[in-house]
Amino acid sequence: MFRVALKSVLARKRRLLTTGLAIVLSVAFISGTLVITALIDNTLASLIGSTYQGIDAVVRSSNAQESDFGQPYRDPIPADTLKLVRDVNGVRAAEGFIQGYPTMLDKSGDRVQDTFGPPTLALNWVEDVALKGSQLEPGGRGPNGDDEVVLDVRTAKDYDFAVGDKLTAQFPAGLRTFTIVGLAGIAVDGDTEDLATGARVLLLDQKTAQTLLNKADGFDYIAVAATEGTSQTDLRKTLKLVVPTNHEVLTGEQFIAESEAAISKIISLFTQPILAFGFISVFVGIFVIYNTFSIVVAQRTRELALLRAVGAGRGQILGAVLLEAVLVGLIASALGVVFGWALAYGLKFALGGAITLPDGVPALTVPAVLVALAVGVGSTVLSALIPGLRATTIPPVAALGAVAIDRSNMSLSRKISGTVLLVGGIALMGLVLNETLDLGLAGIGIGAAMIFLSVATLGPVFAGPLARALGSPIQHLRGIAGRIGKENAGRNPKRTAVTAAALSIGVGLVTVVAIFAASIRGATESQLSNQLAAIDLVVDTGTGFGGLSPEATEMLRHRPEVEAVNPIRFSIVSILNSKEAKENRAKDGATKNGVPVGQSDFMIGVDPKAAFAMVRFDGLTPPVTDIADDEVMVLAKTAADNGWKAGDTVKVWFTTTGEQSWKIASTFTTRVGNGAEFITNLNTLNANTTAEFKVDSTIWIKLRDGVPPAKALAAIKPELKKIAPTAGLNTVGDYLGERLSIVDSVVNLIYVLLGLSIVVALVGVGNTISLSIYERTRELGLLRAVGMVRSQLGESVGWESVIIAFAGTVLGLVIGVCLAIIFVNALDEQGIEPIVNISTIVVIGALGAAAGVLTAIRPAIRATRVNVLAAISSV
Amino acid sequence: MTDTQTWAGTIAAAAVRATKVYGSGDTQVVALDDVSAEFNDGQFTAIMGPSGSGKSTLMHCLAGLDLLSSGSILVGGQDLSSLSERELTLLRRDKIGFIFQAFNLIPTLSALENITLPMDLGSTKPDAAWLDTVIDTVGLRDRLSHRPSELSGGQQQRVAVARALASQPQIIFADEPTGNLDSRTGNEILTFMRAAVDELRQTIVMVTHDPNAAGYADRVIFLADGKVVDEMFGPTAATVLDKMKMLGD
Repeated sequence: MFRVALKSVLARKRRLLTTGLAIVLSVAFISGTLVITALIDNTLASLIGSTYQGIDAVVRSSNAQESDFGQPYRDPIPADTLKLVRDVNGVRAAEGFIQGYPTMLDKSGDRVQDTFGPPTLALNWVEDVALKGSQLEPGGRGPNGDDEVVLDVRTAKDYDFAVGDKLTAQFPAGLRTFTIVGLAGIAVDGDTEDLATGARVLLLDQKTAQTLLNKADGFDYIAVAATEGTSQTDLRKTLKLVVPTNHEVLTGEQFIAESEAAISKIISLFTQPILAFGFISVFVGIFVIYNTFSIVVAQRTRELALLRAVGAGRGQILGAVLLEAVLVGLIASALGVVFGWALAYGLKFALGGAITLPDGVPALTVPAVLVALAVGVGSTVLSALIPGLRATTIPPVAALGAVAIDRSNMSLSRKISGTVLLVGGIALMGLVLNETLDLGLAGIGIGAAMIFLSVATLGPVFAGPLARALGSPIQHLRGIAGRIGKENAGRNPKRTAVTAAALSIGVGLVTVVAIFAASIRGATESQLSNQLAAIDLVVDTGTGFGGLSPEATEMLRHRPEVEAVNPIRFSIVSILNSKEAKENRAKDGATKNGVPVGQSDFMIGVDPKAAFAMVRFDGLTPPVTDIADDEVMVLAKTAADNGWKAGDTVKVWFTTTGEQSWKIASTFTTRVGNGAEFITNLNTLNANTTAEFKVDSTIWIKLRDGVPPAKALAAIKPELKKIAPTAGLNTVGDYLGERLSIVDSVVNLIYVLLGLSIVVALVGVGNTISLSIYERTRELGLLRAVGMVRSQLGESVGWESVIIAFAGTVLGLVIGVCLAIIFVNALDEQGIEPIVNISTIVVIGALGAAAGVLTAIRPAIRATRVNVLAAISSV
Repeated sequence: MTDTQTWAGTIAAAAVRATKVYGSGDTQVVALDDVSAEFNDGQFTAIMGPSGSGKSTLMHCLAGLDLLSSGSILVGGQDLSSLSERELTLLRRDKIGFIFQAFNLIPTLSALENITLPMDLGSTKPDAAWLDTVIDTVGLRDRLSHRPSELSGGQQQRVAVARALASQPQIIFADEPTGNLDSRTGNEILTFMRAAVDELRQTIVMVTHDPNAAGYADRVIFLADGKVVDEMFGPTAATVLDKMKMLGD
């Protein structure tokens, strides 16, 4: 049987190619992502390992504020602790470290800002060889005094800085200009030739770092090097006895592992979605391959019956079909791995801005190859299983005969399983969105997959009528060519359903994304015209961390054009008495490392007087005009979820000041500005939060009556540039427009990624039609004999393809619109209403139909080349 | 039956010194060897001969489905060798009717749609009165909306006959039209074809190896080894069978 299967594959190379294409594309995506992820992980691991390799123990505060955005925020530890640690037995050296987020300016005075790139860190320089982590390039020295800096080698290269140049950066404590006295990087594996870096780094002397990062004389952590012969675990034990109770001690190895895990998590935020798109196209690919094998088995009924007649058992028939699937899967996966490798190379360049990656071609990793092969071969075999089982039921005396129209009625099991899938999918999604089931995105994905599967299962019921309905205008316009195309599109309801369902997945997801984007745009526009209408100008500090020191706000307050200024600060906080906090405590216990377990969220602080003058808070209950100290305003939805109302208490925990009980002054229904659910006043926030957050992240400006914003903008910009050159100043419209353009670029990226699954599905449409045409050779011959000219025949194939593609597109649109409305409604707390743009729907529909024309080209050409005489003579 | 020996109408189709050679060198096969034959208007001609005699090739060439190696085919006075592929297709559509042995119909179209297919392809309206006549002649009035899979084999062939007649072609070619039918149903179809010639003044050329079928024709041409070897007018099944025996079939 092996020879039979092998010959069958080889005899149909073209089919092998088109069947395999779906696998090649999706495997390429998955293996490419895995290869690049492995490369990044390894690179980061070696960067982190090299940076921290001399560290044997780390001492830091155990007062940590968990954050969804990266490492937890901790209290600084006092200088006394460092003295204490240095005297401990087994400590050879100990150094205090401070780190923070400055914003750097390049030589032309523009801020260094990588939207998806590395963060900019400020650290203090230490001399100890084991603890300092970085190596100076020859010709440099460490910083000494408050006007010297050491810069990382990559930023120096990217922005053309050299030793002796001036460099300006904005710190929480203000704007400073330094002289670069050295360039430094990480010597990976002791190789000092080529210094690498992860983040952009400014190294300052200790005093300067403490001052500029508002750390007084404290440290974020203390790194310790052990004496010869002292193990990391022993050192940790000894240190634990010495340090104060609110401190924790990690071994160097633990510290490295923790840092690696934190960075891997951030990297996975980028790689996981790409991987998800790979799996979406695998899912689509399964439809395509299932269909191809189904058709192939149907066409080979006679051949398989003959094999059965000459004595092949059912197992052997199944074996032959599955073997063919394995061969197709193996060849396609192997090709996919090769393409994936090329893709990884491309991704490496794309990500080159974010991290220094080693030169050359990324190495293929064993797990990447194994996963890719498993997915590729696995999905092919899985898809071929049902057609294979169907093949075993072909009786040895299978009838010869014409290709009948598939009029098989819907079996009861099909109806039941289809309905179960549909209802189950909708129910699952509902429960996840309802937060009854805590499955997150995976739950939504499974629910959506079930809905698409139900389309394929129940599809045969409506595929025929749908194809005919869509085709009937064509018939009226294009006569017999349209009529025949329409009938052919509906003649194999199962085939049409599976083919269309495959396409509907990509189209559905594109529709969801399009409606999402439109809804976000709509919400922003309504914010502009309503809530934020009284704000004229906005100062922002760009993306990422960091913020402005208070001078900027002071300057703006005194400008003659300005009526009111509202600096906004934000802070990561831990809410203790919310529903989620209670759930977290039930899961993790009341405290973790001595810190109460709560719900990590963020809060903004505003100047209430200015805020109420500039912003319309919708649905204020009760209608207040101030937020007093130790008061907080809460989003109505959040309050309702937690059973709070105005006058109740919210318990908030800070690393610095511990548990705080604040009164709810009022609730509001629509988020404003930065979108926080909790709003307090600046005094209260400043009194409790850590140094990192004592910066202005955004400043709202209201101009005096009659001052044109453009004129004020022109006048204020140069002044702001002098004291806060890293700040951006825009009209509120431009500010929101800029943020929307980030949304747009993300949406466009998603379109490209989803495009892959659409291509796979279109390959499937082409495949189905090619195979169907092959089946209908005699019929084509007859049509040509009785006078159908080639152009008419090509046209009818074209219409068939257009109708199937359009049916898939329409299904996708229907599902997509429904899903999008459900999703957007689930986000109603964000103040986003679902907006379904008719023009978007029309464009997607038209593109779907147009894609049908493209997929028809090859089968149409093949159909018109049918040899009439041979076709009608082959009985 | 009409006395076709004295028939003096026009010529519907003709083969003039038609030669068809397949392959070359050692594998060369001469399917038609200098065949000349005329097919008159309003006449029912059967082409007979053993397997490999070239009878199907002759029909395919006459019908514009295949091209000659040399010689010429005339249909309605037009030389087919001068026509492009597209012109040949249009000629088949407008001037020629076909009845094949099996798989005559498009399974997705109803009986009526199959009947009017050639006209629909040319976007011409069928002559309603004529169409009625044809449908009644083959007795399909109550089956028009059925699809081929819902019709019996005999009914399917009647639809095929109706399609061939519907566009009032110059000439109808039938390739073993009863080959897949039992003899009773076969005779029924042949009766319809006979009626089409007698009552509707159509011209039919039929390839067959069945003497009984040939007995319905006005004239039989016998082919062997790519040559016309004999001709018979007013044949009956018995006389044709005798002739076949004589030709050593």
